[in-house]
Amino acid sequence: MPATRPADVLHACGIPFEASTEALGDVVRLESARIADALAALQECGFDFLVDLFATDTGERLEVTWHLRAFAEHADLYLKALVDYDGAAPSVWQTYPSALYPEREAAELLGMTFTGHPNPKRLLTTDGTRPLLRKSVLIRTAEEVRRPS
Amino acid sequence: MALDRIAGEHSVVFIRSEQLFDLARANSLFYLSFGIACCAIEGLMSAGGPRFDYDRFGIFHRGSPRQTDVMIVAGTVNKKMAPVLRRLYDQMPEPKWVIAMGACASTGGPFREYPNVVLGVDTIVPVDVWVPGCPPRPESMQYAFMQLQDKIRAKTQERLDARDATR
Repeated sequence: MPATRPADVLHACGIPFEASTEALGDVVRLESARIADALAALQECGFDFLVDLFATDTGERLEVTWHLRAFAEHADLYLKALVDYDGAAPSVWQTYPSALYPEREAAELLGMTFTGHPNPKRLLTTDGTRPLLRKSVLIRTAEEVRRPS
Repeated sequence: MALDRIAGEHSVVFIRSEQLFDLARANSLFYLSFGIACCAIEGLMSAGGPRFDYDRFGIFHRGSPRQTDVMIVAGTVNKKMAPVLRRLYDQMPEPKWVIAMGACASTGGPFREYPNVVLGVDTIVPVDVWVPGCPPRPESMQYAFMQLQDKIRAKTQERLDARDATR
């Protein structure tokens, strides 16, 4: 664990959170509105690298995950926040510039927005494509993929 | 083409211009170095390298579509890539041929269930030879090029026969 524990840092900032250790690793769940403050504070205390940012569809809401790493302490931390369908999470690119591309990817594939993103265009798909990673967007059936012979 | 072997050394060969051109075309199929997925490793890179060395058939890669005769569609084409593929095809000078390499280019392959994947490149460009496999071995591509050469020769013969019939 880092010299300053992430829980202490978040406590000091007055950010409500829920910490747990899951199969994924150390997970901290918090409100999406406070994520920018939390990431800024954690970067100060040694989590200097954003490994990845991704989102999943839980079936009820979207869960955005920020994967942080502190190289000096060899520690990983996952921050998770729930966002409504077509909802918004704050962009963290000013804290971690490496969030720029994954934010665009998550935004188009899950149908959400990152407020404050400087270039909120699509990254992988063309305009009009549905949010492909949502559970409501179904894969093609056997009949649909069959080619007319 | 070992014409010497057929006609003997220092001999003169009479050939119709169409046949001569198509002979040249069939034996200098330049393909576009346009790899969009893992098939490109087998069909373009390994094929062009020293082990399979397609250069010995006159099959060589070119960087610009203006200099190519064959387009090998090597990989999954999604809806964003489709207009790019079509544009490259349109930029190639006539006569031109297309080889759909592998399961993805032929039908969408293992990714056909995903709504963003094109179900076969024949919906975008006219395909001459289909190569099965995931990915096909370079030997399969060799055979595909042989099929294409046969196809070009057959086309010449068809054209000549049609003209002879009208005489």
